[in-house]
Amino acid sequence: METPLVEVKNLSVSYFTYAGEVHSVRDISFTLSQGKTTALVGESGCGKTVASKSLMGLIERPGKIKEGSQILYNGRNVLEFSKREWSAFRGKECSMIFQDALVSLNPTVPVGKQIIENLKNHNEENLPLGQLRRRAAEMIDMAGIPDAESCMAKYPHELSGGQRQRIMIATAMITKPALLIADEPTTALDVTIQAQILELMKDLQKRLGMAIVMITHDLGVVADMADDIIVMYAGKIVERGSGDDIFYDPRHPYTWALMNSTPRLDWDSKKPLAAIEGTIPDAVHPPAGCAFCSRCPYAMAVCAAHDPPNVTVAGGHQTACWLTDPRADVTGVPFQTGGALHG
Amino acid sequence: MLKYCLRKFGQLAVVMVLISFFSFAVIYIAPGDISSMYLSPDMTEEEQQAVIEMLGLDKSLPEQYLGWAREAIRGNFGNSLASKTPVWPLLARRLPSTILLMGVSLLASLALAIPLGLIAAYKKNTWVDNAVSAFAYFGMSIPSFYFGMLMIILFTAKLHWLPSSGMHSVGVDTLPDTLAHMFMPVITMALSHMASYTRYVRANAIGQLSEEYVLAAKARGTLPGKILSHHVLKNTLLPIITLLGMNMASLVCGSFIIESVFGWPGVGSFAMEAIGKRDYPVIMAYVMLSGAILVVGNFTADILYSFADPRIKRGIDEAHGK
Amino acid sequence: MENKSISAGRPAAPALTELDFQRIEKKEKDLGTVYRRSVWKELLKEIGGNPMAIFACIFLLTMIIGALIAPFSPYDPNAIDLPNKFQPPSAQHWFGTDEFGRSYFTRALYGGRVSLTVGFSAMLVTICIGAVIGIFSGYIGGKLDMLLMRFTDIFLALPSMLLMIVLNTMLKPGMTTLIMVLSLFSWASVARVTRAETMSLKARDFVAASRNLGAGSLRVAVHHILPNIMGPVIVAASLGVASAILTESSLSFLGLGISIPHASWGSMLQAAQASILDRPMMAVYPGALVLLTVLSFNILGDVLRSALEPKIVK
Repeated sequence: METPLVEVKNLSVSYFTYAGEVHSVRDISFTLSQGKTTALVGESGCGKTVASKSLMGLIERPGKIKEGSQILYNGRNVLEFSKREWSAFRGKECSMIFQDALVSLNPTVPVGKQIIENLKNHNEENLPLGQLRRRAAEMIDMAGIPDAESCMAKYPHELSGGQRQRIMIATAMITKPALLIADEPTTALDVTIQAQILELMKDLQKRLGMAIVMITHDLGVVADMADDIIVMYAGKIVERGSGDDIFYDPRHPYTWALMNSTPRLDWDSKKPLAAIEGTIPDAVHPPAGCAFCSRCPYAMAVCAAHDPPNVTVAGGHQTACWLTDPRADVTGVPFQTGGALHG
Repeated sequence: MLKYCLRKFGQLAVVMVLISFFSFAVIYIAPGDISSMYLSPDMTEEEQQAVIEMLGLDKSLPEQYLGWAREAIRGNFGNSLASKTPVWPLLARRLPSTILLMGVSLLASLALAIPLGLIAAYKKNTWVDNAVSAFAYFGMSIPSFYFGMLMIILFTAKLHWLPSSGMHSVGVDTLPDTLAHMFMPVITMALSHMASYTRYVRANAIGQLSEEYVLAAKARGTLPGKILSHHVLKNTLLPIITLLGMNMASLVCGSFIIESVFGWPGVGSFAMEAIGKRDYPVIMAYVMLSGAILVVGNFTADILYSFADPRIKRGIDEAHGK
Repeated sequence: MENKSISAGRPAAPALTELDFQRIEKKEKDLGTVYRRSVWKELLKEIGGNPMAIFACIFLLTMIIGALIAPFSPYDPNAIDLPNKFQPPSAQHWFGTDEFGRSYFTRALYGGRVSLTVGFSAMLVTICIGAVIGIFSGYIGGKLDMLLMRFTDIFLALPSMLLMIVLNTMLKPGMTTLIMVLSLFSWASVARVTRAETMSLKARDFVAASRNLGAGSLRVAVHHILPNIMGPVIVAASLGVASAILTESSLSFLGLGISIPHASWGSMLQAAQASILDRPMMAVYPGALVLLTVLSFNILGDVLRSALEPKIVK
């Protein structure tokens, strides 16, 4: 098996707020493979953005990555990076695309300058500015914006929403990073533009060959892009597996509910959508057992008291649910639970 | 853009007219007959009448105002009642030293406030920030004349390093001598402005630092120093331009008190004397001069701002069709 | 801890019985963390956690008490006693005596009475004028708003210190004049703040909801707008006292406020200026009192601001 690009081990992140310590990410572990797209899926506030920001060392006060967390990038723990190492890592090895390009681009700096900034920060060969400009123009061209030269002189507010997101992508990809984190890159865009941006990302991934972490709550995007899917709930990973595993063989009641709360074209239109009742648990006092317990229709006594263990059901498909236990009462559960036992 | 400038200019003219009318009215309705200062009991009835007519005091307020305004537009602010010579040359002669004082202290306060504010914002809630804040509180709270007096006590009375008043030593006109005279007034005047600018820059920079574009720049591997200088600085300084325009008022008024404390031969100390003598043409001319500095300052700030911020310039150009 | 790592097979689970795998119907409802923020508690906490704020409060309390008990001083602040002039500080005269042999400490106490009275009264008048104009302008909007705001703009653009000086020269000097003149030139900024606040409140949903429920304009203004603009107004009040005291001292220093022989900190400084090179302490005492009082009010204003503004992060 090839070595993974990123290995996250026991990552915990907390925010220290007025109400108390908010446990945003609670002890999660996962791996990202070279050149593959991994989708982080979950409701807002489930910790998916925080988890991805940790990868880039962008957790700021009052947030804190807790002791014992490890993020190995090509075998090196990035959490032990010095300021210099971080600055060499960010933008060069790993880039990020933000949700709203309008606020993520400096409003008073021409976009060309902002693209070149990334190149300048990682200009080990000391290329002259003219050459950097040319590369920026090529990148803008690659990002599908016509007339790159005149575009570079424009300010963010002079571009359309789709063009701004293309610029964000160009900015992130110009250094050919090995890992791209895209935090809801299409949420702020029109549906037609969304598809174009996703096409662009797929195209660039093919050409430049980087791994993508796609953070989204839009399962349509996930289905379109993802090789692997990680489902998060209340700061924990509840299930992970390949796209097919998660879409066609969900093993966790939350994943199942998530899949069935999204309208699909191939479904009978009379079939009611399954809404998930209740609200996500409070992250200040996370429940002792399974976080989904209070909303789970199949909850058992053990769920409220004990954290479910991570169980591998097949290949790379894992889930954390007590229903996988052979002793579990699985009457009426509409999806397959345990591994081979119920198979 | 031209249309925008013209409209701003129109607003400016209205403000000037209102300032002048307001000041004129204050002097007019104020108790204490102005003419009594220029009449003596040994004058005959006719002589007294002649003085009153010369001063224009027999007319109603609007008439007097219009008469004054008609002349003022032509640059004639009348004669000083005390020295019986035209007011404008008297003021104009003293204007350069006031402008010098104001300009140097403005530059000094900005030169210190911008780096201090930025550093305090970047090092928010550390001892650096606390020290800068304490300093800003001090500058904001101390009466400028009192700070001036303390400086005189320290540098003149105790240390004998600096002269306490005037602009030149008698018979000397060298740069070091002028600089020595300027030092205390400039510092005194700069202090309170520096304090308010520092607080403003700090608050603004903290706001900018929490913007997502800063996070995005960080995610590109941009170093903190460059984030401050390339990204935050410009966006922080844009609103400062407006603040500068608004602060012209306190700069003008500040020069008034500080010139008196340090005996600086500028228009402020001259106006102070005039107030003591109720030399109202001089007072009016000074009010108009200060008003003009203020309003032109505001105007320049608005225009500069719209040029400096690409978003605003485009908005204006669109609204007015280039 | 249970085994969290990616493991093959069953993890070493806690000893569980069949009973643990019974379905449960009644589940604890998750209500989220409820916490209350009381303005007073918040304020006390904010002050308690900030040594500068503790100092400011203690100092201001001392000053106010000092000003109140000034008449109990055994010395007359204005009685001339030339044989005892320029005495150094002693047990009887804590700050020594001035050029007329008057107890400088007693005069400083009386000066504080004047400065604090002027400061508070000017602030009250300023807030009243400013808030009324600001609320009207922001709440009614339209033509009235435009008119009032142009008017306010002009007041903001006036060289106020200068006109205050002119006005004070022409009017009969005294405390009432001073208070009126100070308020006349400082209401404009309060009006701006309250207007902006009113405008933003007016656009909020709870105001719209109240109006949809049939509440009249007056009711909305009194029940929804007023309580919610109290925060910024209280902050403006604290900073207003500071600036009024500062301006009063400047005017009195120029001889245009409280006039000699009555004491105010500014007029004491004016008197001290003449002999500043010989007797600097005469200037240091009243000046330090002005500085510390204004400083305390400024600190208090900032503490109030941060206590009253809603925030999540400690």
